[in-house]
Amino acid sequence: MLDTSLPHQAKRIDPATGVREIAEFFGPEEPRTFGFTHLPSSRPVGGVVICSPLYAEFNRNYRREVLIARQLASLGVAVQRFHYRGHGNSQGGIHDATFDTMLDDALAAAQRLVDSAGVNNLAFFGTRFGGLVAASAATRFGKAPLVLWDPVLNHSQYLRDIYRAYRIQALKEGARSSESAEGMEEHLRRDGELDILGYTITRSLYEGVQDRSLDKEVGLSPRPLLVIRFGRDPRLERGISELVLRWQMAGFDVNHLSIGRQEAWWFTSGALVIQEALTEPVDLTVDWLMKTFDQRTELL
Amino acid sequence: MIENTIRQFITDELNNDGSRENLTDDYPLLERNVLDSLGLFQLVGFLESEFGVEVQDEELIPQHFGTIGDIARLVEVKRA
Repeated sequence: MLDTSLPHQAKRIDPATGVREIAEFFGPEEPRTFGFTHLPSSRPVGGVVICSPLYAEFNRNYRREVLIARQLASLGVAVQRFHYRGHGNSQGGIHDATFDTMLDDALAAAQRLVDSAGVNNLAFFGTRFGGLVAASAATRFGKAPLVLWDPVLNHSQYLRDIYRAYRIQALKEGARSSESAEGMEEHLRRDGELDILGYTITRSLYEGVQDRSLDKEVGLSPRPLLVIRFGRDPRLERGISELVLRWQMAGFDVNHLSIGRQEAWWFTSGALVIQEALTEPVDLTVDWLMKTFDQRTELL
Repeated sequence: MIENTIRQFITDELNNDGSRENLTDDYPLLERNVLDSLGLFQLVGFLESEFGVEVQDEELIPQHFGTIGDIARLVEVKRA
């Protein structure tokens, strides 16, 4: 018989670092968000909310997000990871997931971190599409520092990357795909969903981001900002360089780095097994966040 | 020469194990797995930045990416 008296949380304490990891569902009402809280053994010096990417990119980045959370927690920073509703282990249907629900999830995750860790000085970290969510959430927390990995600049660039991945996979497999990018977009509008390499892209999410861009979500209220680009994609390089310049002119303290190796966000090649690709962005991000928290603590 | 520029990118940037000499203009890149999915993705980005062309998604077919010669012809047509 199913034991329904199970606790709502699962906890683990790392014997080496004393870091507590708590897995649970949270949020004001169902469907609830699933997440992990990483709590340091001592009073936290700050908190970081991690906003994951979506689809294949979510899987691609998962281990790095775990490593970042554990490293930060071992250094005294509380961290909240979570799955967007309709994705991963969270409740909810994929067709109900929109940019607004993703932002609500990020804000609920931030509140969960404030409640469980007792921190008020938060930073936000987002990868690819998660960068849009993290940027938007950060604007609700004053001058909260923001970390962006290979951020999506706008919905059309993101969809183009996804379509291109689909076409390239078909090319590699020798398949003839006759559907154009415009045809696939029409397919998405008509049918409400689109299968790309086994992932369901939904109209609800697509239509909800048409007016959104990284430029708008970050805004012009200066905050510490770390942007890490994976590789030298010329299209991303041009776009992000223009944005970085604009942020600098608006008074942002921007650290813009390239780690030289393009990430195979949509492909299952062996690139991620290279240790450098796994740890380099993690180490850079942890170092920057620790310095940023130290500076902010000195100012208080 | 477009072919040499593409050849150099494949050997220098895409971790290709073969020598540049073996990578002739008609060497089958896809059949012999010289280009994996990520390599193709990077190569398309390189063509766009290096030669100032825009590769349409519909052009991502074996006839255009089967060999270095095929790729060079695609670039030449788009630049004409």
